[in-house]
Amino acid sequence: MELSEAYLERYSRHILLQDVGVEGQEKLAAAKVLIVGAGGLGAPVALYLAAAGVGTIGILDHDLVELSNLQRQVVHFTKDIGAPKVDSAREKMLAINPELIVKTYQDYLCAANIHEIIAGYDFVVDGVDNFPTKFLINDACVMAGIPFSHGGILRFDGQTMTVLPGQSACYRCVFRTPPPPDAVPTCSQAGVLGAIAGMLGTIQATEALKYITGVGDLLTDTLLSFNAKAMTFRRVAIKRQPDCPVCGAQPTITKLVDAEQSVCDLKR
Amino acid sequence: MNMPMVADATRNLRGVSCPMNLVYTKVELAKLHSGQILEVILDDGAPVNNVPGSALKEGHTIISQEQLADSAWAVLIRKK
Repeated sequence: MELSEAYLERYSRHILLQDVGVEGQEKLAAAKVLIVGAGGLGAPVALYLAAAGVGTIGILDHDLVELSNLQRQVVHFTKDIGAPKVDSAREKMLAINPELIVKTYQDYLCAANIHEIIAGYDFVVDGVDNFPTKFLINDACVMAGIPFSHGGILRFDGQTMTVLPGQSACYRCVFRTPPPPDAVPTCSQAGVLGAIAGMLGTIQATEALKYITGVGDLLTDTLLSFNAKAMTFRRVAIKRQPDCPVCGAQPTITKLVDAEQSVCDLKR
Repeated sequence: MNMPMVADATRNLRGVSCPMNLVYTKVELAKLHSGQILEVILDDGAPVNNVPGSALKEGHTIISQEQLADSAWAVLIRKK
């Protein structure tokens, strides 16, 4: 296939990279990535993956844009208040890169729909704001063998890890069960410094691009956390656990159930 | 005297400035097999000062570079 001049110019800074090149850019164009959550983390992920030329991007979020989102969810603008977040995100992604396919899912992720939604994606980015859904994404991706990036932020702190199912430690190898309801405050209760959403989301976007192009070493078997007040980054080595309930030798979690206090219960 | 080399492909990059001349060089190299030879015609100055070095850094071999009558350079690159 002859690549157009516009294509080569748009992606020239990728193509110039020895590790990416023309071949890597073609892999990005053929790739399908699902972003779960069009909030603080999903916003930079959506913008950077769209800019990078990831050919098919799915984005899932049930919510509408609210005024309090705009302090950190940079894909949404003041004019978008009241609009579905997925539509707002899609509009900006296509404005950056009109040739993409952006699929929107204005829904919650739950046991009943996650398998169907994630099927066919090459990589999933977890940008959700609650523990039950983080565990659900982990379990479903492990069962389906789909690599994903876990990410979470609160106040001045962020943490992320990349999971290659069957190869590297999964989220449940590290954290067995969701914390009790209300044990960990949400962003809406505790607050979050807006820019750290960008710090963490861009790490997740980078991991997605690395996975697709095969460049470098993924953040697997490692939990990366940072504290923005001290601006310290810490890497903790983690290991796959043989007795992990989902990716271990004898898994006890073999089908998905919605945890208590799942976001699906929040449906009015 | 060098043996005359026959290029497997040639790309005229006269008038194409940095870094797009390198992008096109990489596009042409990507079409070739290992060991095949690409000829690129680069402008004098920054283009010829940069593109061959970048190709070299990526592991390709610069076989020759020769200035032409119009001051542009014909550069032969063997793909790694």
